[in-house]
Amino acid sequence: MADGSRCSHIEGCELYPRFSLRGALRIWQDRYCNHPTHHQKCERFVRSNAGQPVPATLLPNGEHIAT
Amino acid sequence: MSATPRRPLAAHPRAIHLRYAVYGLVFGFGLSRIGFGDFAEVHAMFVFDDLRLFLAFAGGVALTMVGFVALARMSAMPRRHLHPGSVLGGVLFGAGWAITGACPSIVLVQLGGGHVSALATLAGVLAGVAAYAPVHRRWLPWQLDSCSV
Amino acid sequence: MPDWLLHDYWPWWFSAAFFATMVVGVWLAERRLLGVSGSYAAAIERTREEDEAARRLDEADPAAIDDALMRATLAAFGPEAVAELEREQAAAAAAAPAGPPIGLTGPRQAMPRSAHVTFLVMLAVGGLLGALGSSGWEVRTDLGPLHEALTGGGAISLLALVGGGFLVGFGTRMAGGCTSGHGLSGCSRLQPASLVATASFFGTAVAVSFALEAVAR
Repeated sequence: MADGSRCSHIEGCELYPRFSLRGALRIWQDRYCNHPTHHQKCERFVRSNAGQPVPATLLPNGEHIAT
Repeated sequence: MSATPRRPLAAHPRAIHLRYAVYGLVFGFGLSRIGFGDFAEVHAMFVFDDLRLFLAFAGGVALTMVGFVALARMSAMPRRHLHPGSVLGGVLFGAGWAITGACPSIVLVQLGGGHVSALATLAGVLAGVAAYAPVHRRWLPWQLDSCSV
Repeated sequence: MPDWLLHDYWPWWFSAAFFATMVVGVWLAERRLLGVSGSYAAAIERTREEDEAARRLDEADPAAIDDALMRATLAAFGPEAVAELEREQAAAAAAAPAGPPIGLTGPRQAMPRSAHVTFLVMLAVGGLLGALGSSGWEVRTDLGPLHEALTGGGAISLLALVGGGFLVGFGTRMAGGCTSGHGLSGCSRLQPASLVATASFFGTAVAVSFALEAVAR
């Protein structure tokens, strides 16, 4: 709210730290988490605000990590 | 990749259960030995009769800060965002703590310490946690802080 | 081992060091901040879909998760965009070889509901071991004479515990943390929400405690 520059859900996000593991994965942080407006399009953010389940495998674009 | 990949113990499935069992055991033991599970001690802190628990808590905050600053830049850690629930939730929790002597961890420490009546508190805590999400969705306008619980 | 470690309540300075060791230690080991109300939330609010995802991640080979995540990344953004970012990072690393601060943004393992429940149960076991020290462990049906005197005694005290417990559960969820999550983990990092929440619950607890005394007299 006061800090509109990045996603306010980073603190509790299961995925954000994984995106720091390898350089290439930071593209998620650039395009979603740390982006001033696009983080609001993150599927995890959207579902969380709608009170829907947010599985740990759900990616910002709505896909799942296929394990 | 080999058929049976070797993994460090820390990454073994269910190792996280073992590690959190240790944290719970140590934290519960410590809270009990500090006296946070003793209603009389907690009440004495709240009415300023005995500041030992308050100093323990405030000193813990200060030393944790020293630890985090020593580890790395604080700015590398994520932020908590202020919303109306920070105040209102704090007021409700504070009232409950004064009445029961319990915060979410202490109620379990009281129970382990033999206080059967803490079951009544625990029932209340579980009901309160369960009731919050539906109430929030229906009536409270601000955003929840986190994506995952 | 000094006698007071097991048989008296710990002095404030030792308790403070204990709290700090717990919070910093759990962060170093898990990349998670210590917060007990979060475990309650995970135990109660989490859906089956969410818990299955957490369990799958916990049980999968870390290397397999890495591969799957990389595949999903390439599928989402295309190989060109990913390669370009890697080139940019290589250039930035060459210009400033110090690199990002290590230690505070590493990975954390997915935590299944059962691990949260284990943590909560072991808090009670820890409380049992702690009580075996000075006072000795015994079954008690109340929280002591002071609590009985302040809250009416007997069945009324018990009702107060249920109602107060509800306030604790509901309030910590609303505030997004409790004494550990906001108080220790948050205040130590000077997080505004945590400072406000902690001032709010300590202040209210002081006011209500004085009110209980005034009414009981």
